[in-house]
Amino acid sequence: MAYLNGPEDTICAPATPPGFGGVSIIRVSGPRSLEICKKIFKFPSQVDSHKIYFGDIFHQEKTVDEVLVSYFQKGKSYTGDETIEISCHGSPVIVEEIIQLLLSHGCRLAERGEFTFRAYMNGNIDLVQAESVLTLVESQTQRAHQTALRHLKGELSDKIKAVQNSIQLSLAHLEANIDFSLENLETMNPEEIISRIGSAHKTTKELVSSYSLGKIVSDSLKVVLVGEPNVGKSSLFNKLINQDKAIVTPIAGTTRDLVEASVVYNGFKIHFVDTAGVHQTLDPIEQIGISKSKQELQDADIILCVLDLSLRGGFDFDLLKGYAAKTIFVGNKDDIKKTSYSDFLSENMPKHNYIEVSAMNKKSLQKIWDIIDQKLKDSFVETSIVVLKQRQYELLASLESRIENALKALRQDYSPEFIAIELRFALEASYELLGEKFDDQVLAKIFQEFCIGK
Amino acid sequence: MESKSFDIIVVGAGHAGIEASLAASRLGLNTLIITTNLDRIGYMSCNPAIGGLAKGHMVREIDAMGGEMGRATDASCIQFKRLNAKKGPAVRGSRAQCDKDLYVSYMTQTLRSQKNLSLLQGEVKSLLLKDEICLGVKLEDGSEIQSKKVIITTGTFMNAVMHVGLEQQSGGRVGDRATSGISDQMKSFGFKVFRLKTGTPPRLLKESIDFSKTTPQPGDEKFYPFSFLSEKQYKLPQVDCYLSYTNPETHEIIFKNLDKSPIFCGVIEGTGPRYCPSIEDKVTRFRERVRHQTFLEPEGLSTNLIYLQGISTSLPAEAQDQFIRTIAGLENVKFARYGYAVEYDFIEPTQIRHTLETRCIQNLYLAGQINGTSGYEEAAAQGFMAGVNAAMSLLDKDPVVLGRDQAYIGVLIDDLVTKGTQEPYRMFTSRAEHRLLLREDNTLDRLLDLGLEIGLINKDQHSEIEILREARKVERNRLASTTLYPNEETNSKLSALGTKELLKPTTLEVLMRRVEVDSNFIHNLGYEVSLDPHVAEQLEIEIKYEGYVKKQLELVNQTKRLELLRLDENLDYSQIRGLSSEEVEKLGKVKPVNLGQAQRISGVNPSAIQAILVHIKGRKKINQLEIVQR
Repeated sequence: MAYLNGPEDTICAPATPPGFGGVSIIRVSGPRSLEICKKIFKFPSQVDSHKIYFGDIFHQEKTVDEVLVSYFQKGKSYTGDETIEISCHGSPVIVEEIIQLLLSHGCRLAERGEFTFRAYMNGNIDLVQAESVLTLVESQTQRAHQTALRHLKGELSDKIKAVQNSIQLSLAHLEANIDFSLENLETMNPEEIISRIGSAHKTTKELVSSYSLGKIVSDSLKVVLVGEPNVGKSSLFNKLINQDKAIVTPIAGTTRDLVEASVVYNGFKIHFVDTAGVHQTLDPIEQIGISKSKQELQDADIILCVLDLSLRGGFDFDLLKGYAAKTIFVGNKDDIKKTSYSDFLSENMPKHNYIEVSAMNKKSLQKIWDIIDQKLKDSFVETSIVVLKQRQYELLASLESRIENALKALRQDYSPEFIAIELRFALEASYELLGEKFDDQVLAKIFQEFCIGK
Repeated sequence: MESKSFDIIVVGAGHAGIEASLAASRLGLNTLIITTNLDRIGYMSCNPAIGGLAKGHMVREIDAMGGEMGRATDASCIQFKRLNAKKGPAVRGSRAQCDKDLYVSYMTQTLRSQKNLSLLQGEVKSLLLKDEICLGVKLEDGSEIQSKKVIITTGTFMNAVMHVGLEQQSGGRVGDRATSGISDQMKSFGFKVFRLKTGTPPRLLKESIDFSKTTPQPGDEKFYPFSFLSEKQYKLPQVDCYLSYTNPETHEIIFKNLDKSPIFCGVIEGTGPRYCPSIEDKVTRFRERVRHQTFLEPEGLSTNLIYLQGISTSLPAEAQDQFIRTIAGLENVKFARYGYAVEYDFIEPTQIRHTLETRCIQNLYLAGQINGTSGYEEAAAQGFMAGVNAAMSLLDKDPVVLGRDQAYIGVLIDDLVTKGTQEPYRMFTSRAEHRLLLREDNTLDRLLDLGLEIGLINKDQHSEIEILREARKVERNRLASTTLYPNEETNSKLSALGTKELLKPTTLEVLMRRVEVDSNFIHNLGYEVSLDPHVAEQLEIEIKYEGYVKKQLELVNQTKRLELLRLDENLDYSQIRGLSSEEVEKLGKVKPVNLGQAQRISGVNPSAIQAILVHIKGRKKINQLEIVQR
């Protein structure tokens, strides 16, 4: 639907992967491109197509970044619509800030593949090209969607589910009170609905504020270290983040809980997680740590499975089942001595996801950074994670404001259909957040809750 | 019958058949209506009431386009209630108890005196088909009647089986036999035909009831007739209904007899409605409830039959004898008829178009319970639309398809042909996503113009809405151009009348947005204002809910964009890249007429809509290229 919503809108999105090289490009396209960009960039009085302009992006008199801006007039751009490309410094924070500025001046975030779609609609590319882009976008969408969902998983998605349940239940009671008012049903009293919706509102409000843009950028790529106890995960972790955050001791099972830290690499934040050593244990505290580790595996973008080259251990490789595509086996302690185990590994491990390093030797760690680098390149889609998360943020914000409206209407004792309309919109936003389709579950809920009959 | 050939044949004379035959004949087409029992035209097989939430809306919609149900209801109304009167205008609904016999005689007379309409008693055994075109019907006695269109409105009668306990009997209603042939013929033609179930409560004899043990339930004093053409006063004396309750003893007897319930024993295979469960269902599903309410509703002024609302059952007669007598007031009750369940054939409705014509057989239309709906109003609405569309087609005019933002009838038909149904489909206000626009109070605004265009509303009748519109405009202008100033005198008056004081100059129009301010209030304030409810009420609603209506209209416009993208019925979805096999199957089955409808099919994802869009736009471009090359 997205493509149909406002074909006349002016849209924007980053056109380059976040954090690469020195430059990022933001593309703005649609009839108001120039008009909007003029609000954040000082153009000369005469603006010509296919010319590059140098200057500052400003926000309330303050300079955001020094940029190059190219202008393409209608009919002479990739999309066919009036287009502007802003080349700024390659930092996700700057890109994010500029996008925010564009949005505040009337742009809309481009949907996945929307630039290409417009190019097609304007006859700049043919059907075969468009369909292949669509197929690509589709697969990327699914992946991106999984990424989004994954980021939502756990606490966040549980909270949204709870909010969703409160809305659904309240809605069922409100609707039953409308459509079956003759049935003398024992529906929730207004105070109870207010308290449910009130707590749903509180939850979403917290989510919105905790989901600030800073955080969105920060958890962009997650690297999780796993392995048996005492194979040197923590030493490796400390070297990667360049500080002694995880306690490194020679006693197996030291890291009982998760240790997390972020570093900025090429302008992109990488989030490292050091997990508890995975092994059979009866210690309940350690067990909790291990189950947390398993959760982290699911959420990871990259799993570094650390093996001790000097010692053939009993690591349970089944734990990594289903994660083959994102797992890298890291033979650690290659400086100690070659053993028959290290020979075995280098012969039997698939070449493209097996490396040998030494946590003691900083230089050898570059191999890990190379892998992270590659992953960042691979995971870039036309709509970056930043944008995708921006969409989530919008949905969350809309969820919050709809619930707030409903709450106001409830407190002012409005007739139920006015409360219902807000709650329905809220419900739809929550479904979209969790990647589900909104169908009429409310009626089903009514029949489940109430005894109704003529 | 003079001729053996007609423009339109309507099979069945229930609520759907009546509207279909009247619409067709009033549009000038030579129409024949065939029923197995001419004494039961427009008979109310179940509850003696018309209207209710969302249903009352539909009755008014039918009326605004020139249908008959509203007028018949007004003429036979013996108790009227405006439901949800204290709630917002969009969810207020009218409901009328009717005298069943008077309703039947009103409809019989209307049909008999209608020009261009012939009536025939008989049973249609099969359709006359040539290839995929319907050419008429064949009767039980072997005779054939030709027609250009056939509209089937057989209700619950096709291959119907009635259940009382474990005893079964062929029949669509007590006193009337089942019909057979058409659904089997359609099945062999490739239609998907399934079974549904419905039920009806016992009918009791009035004189055997002790009403002193029940609570009387009077109707409203104020009457809002369903038809804009009816008198604004009650025509008949108004009667009370009575409220009573089941109790643990009732429930215990029901539990003991569950092994003789055809539903619980699996004898009945059809699906029953969730919103209208039998009493056996209620007590088993909601075990914690110690009582269930029941309304004792008179079936008419001159009959002694009482309808026991809420106690639909198919338990054996002996069990009914026992458990009904545990209900307060019914200790010594005599039965006129036991409750029973009916199982019948319905045609899966995604096989018909928005015009209600079947997709496989040309000139064949289906309307009413045969399409899986339940309720008199849902049936009448479809019958009316089928009659109109069959006529439009013969008159070479565009089909009439109501939008989901235009009428509940639009929601009804679109839901049926897009989503199908697994249980008897009943309309609820919550099914309408544009609920705030589809109100009873603005029915004429929504549909009277269309009625005129169709040709079932004449200029005289139409002038009603023009007068109302003009009056409202004058009133509105007056309110908008009268400003109150926050001086002491005005503010003390406002406080006295129970509203907050003004802080800045305010027009009467803005003042009216306050919940407590209505036309009477303005009048008491000392300003001139119309107190005619048809003007004042609508005006108050317009002003108070403007913000919400605006929001709703935005939503309508968003959906409209998708509705404008039409889809070819012969589109081969398997050729479109990016659709899942489930989506291909569902789209191929429903054959949506536009992208908006495609989007509403359950199981069709947003990405599929994009893929279809790329595909059709691309084909258009290729076609254009080909034309240029030629």
